Amino acid sequence: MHLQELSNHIEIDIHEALEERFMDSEELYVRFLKKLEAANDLAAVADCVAQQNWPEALRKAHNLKGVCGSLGLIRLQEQLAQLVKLLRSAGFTQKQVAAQLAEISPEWERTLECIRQLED
Amino acid sequence: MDIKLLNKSFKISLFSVAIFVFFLVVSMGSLHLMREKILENSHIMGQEIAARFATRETARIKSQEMLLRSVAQSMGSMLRLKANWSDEEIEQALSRFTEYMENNSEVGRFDMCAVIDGRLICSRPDRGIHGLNKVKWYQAALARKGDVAYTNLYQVEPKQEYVLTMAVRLGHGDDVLAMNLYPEQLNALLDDNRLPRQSYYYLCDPNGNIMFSISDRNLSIEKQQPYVDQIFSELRQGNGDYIIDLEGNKRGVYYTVSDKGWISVVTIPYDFLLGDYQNLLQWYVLTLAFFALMVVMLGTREHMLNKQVQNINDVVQVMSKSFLAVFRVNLRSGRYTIVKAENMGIVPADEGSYNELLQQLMPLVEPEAATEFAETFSLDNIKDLVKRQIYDFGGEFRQRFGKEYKWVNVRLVWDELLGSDEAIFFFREVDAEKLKELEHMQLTERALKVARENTKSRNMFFSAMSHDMRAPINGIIGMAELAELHSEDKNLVFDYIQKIKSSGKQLLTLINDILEMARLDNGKVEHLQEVFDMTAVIQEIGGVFGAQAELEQKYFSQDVQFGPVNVSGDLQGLHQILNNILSNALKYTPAGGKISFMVRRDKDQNNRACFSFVVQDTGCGMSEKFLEKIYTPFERDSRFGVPKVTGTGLGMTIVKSLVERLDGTIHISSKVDEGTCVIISLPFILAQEQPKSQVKDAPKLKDFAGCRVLVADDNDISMEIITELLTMNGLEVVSACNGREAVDKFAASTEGSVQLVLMDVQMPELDGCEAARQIRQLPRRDASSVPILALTGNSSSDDVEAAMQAGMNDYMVKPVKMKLLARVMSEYIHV
Repeated sequence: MHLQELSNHIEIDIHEALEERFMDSEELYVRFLKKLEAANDLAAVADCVAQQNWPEALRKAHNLKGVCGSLGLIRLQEQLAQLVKLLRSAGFTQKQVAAQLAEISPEWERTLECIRQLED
Repeated sequence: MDIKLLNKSFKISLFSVAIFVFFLVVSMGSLHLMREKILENSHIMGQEIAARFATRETARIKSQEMLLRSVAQSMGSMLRLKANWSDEEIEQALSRFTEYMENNSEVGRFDMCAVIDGRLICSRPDRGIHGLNKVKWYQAALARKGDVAYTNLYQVEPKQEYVLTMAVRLGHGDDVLAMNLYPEQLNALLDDNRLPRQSYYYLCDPNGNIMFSISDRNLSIEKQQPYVDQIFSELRQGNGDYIIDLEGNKRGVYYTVSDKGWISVVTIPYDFLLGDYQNLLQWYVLTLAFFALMVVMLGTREHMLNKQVQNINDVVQVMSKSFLAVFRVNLRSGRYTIVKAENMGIVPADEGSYNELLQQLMPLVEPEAATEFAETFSLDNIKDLVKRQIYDFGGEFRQRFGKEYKWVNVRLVWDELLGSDEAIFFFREVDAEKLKELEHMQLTERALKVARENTKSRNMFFSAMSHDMRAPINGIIGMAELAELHSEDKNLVFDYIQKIKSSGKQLLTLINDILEMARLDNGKVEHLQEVFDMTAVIQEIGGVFGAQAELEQKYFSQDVQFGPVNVSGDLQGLHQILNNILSNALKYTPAGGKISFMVRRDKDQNNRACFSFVVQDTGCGMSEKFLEKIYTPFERDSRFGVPKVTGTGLGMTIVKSLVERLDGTIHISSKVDEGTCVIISLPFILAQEQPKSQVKDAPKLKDFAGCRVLVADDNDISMEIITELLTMNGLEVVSACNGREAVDKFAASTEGSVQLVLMDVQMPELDGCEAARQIRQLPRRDASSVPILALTGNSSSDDVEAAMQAGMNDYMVKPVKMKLLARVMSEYIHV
């Protein structure tokens, strides 16, 4: 799959990411998208949630949101922003967090799958 | 005026010259006639003189002829009585006759000769009558039979004297007696040869030889003969009226011819003939010269007078043009005469009753002033004013001309020159002057009002400015005092210093704004006219505020409704205006609110493109009361619920000045708690040339190649992205995965080697704010000066404030935009 075709499958602002952050270098952009796929940080967030390590969960979710933002993954950035907001709010429950994670998961998986299919 | 005057003078002069020429021609004609008459009379007189002299001379010769006949009779008788007279006897007899006659008659000198029997015998043989000559008179006498024959004048030996010989036959034979006369000698005998002065008389034989002459020139006959020859030559040619004599004088010539063919000629000088005429002519010339002089003098005087009159007429005409109407009013009879009334809107009679004139004028006067007009210019009032020696009175009122009213000055002037019963009543249009005066008065009143308002607003401005300046200064003083009190507590002192710095910055911003406003007011701001692409500039400005909105969790939308367009104008001014308006929109819009920035291109006018910049927000809005004072310096909406934001209260004042400077308009509408909409319309000149590339001018990361940047971020991928991009642009990156590492790596670096710190705010172990605070406190010179930029994904204003409080210089929202980073870096790193 070519980079430009990604927007057919996931919500991604390729134009802004390329122009504002990767200096119009598709190669660089693709490289970092692949890094996201390799790191699979959402699993790390889920682990922290499972362990109820909330500060770490917040930090990781926050970082992941930032990375998604950097890569132009708009939908994931929004969903993670909601997760961060939930984790920052007072009186959230593990169930709520897990539900939020479950909501993010399909988009996350679809995104990783698309990235995997990306041509280098 | 001069040409007119010259024309008139020329006509007058021409007339005078014509009269003069006529007089000259008539007088010259008369003189000529007179001269001709004199010459005619002279001719008669000359002819008479010639005739008289001819008669006299002929009579004298006749008497000599008689004498000759007597002697011839005696000689004949003597010869008949005795034959064979000897020559001596005959000679003696002739001598006796000669002597007797010379002694007893007035015949003058003469000789006698006779031819007797073919012999020539003379009374005075020494006088030399010779043979050859005898033939002429002898033959002539024989041919004449009994009559006396005359010879022409001829010369005889030995003295070459001129002689005239008369001869007659003695009886019926061939004997002849001759008498030789000497004409020169005759002259002396004349006692009545009175001729006009300098006149000459000549008696000539039929051949034109002078027999004798009467003249005062004492010239010999030989010398006079050429002159006489000339006379005859002229007479033969028919030019007999006058001759030029030997002295060159003109002379009248008159002659008669006797029955013997002798010609009597009289010449009289013209000077004598025309003596009286010359005198008359002299008098005439003198009179003529005098007359001509008089004509010239009179002409000059008339010209001068005409010039004066013309001057006065011109002045009066020019002056009267500025009057609508002029009337001459007789106060005693109550009647008027029109001098001029062309443009009054009414056509009064040339003369008539003054009261009727007033009645005619009344409908023209504006209704409000009609009564006053009627009273002022009533005959009674005028008489009263004249009686009180008021020479000039009147006033201004509005007069109707068709459908419009104009200001007219009406005056009544009285002067002793006119006599006590006469006055001049005139109307002059003063509409333009009056309107100008009224306008001037209004302007003065307005200027006074503005001056008062300016004074008031200046006082208010200074009062507000003092108040606004006092707050940060008081803060600075208070914080300094607190820092003094807690000098031992380093953290506290640092905190106070940060606050002092913050207040100082606020004060500086305020002062900068005041200075900017003062410069705008004084017109001293000279922004450069630049060529730029409007779309690119709007995208750039929108980008900056879009990022800030994102940071503050506000929705920012931007809409540019036209393509790239190159314009020329004050780019700096446009930046200032849009920055102020957009920053206000962001300031007064809470998180979650919306800000839309829309730019549209209106209809072009000639070579100017008009743009409307619309900034709309869903912020707290403004009350109507505040909206009225929005451009007043230091005015802030103080109602409950309006966020307390930092600002100088001069932003909108500056915006207003700038917009006006750029020939634009600004319109603000706002509703409390609903939002504000600002519409600014600005014209720009459409540029043909290309703008200097904004992109080229915009800072790039490459511009900072070689700089060392400390990047602190706990996220590996973010760190990697930043590191990758900075490195590939030639920058050196020192990476730190948390705050502690960042402080340590900065502390470990050589002083001045790190040019910039990019500090993620949220990091494990030591967060960005604390790390920044610790870096600032490091005991090295670059600790306080190194620029630290906060990177935050948490865009709440609390984070930004905390970062600023921690001593960081600026902030950026994650994910970091590289162009924005380059721009921010350009503000802190000067390569």
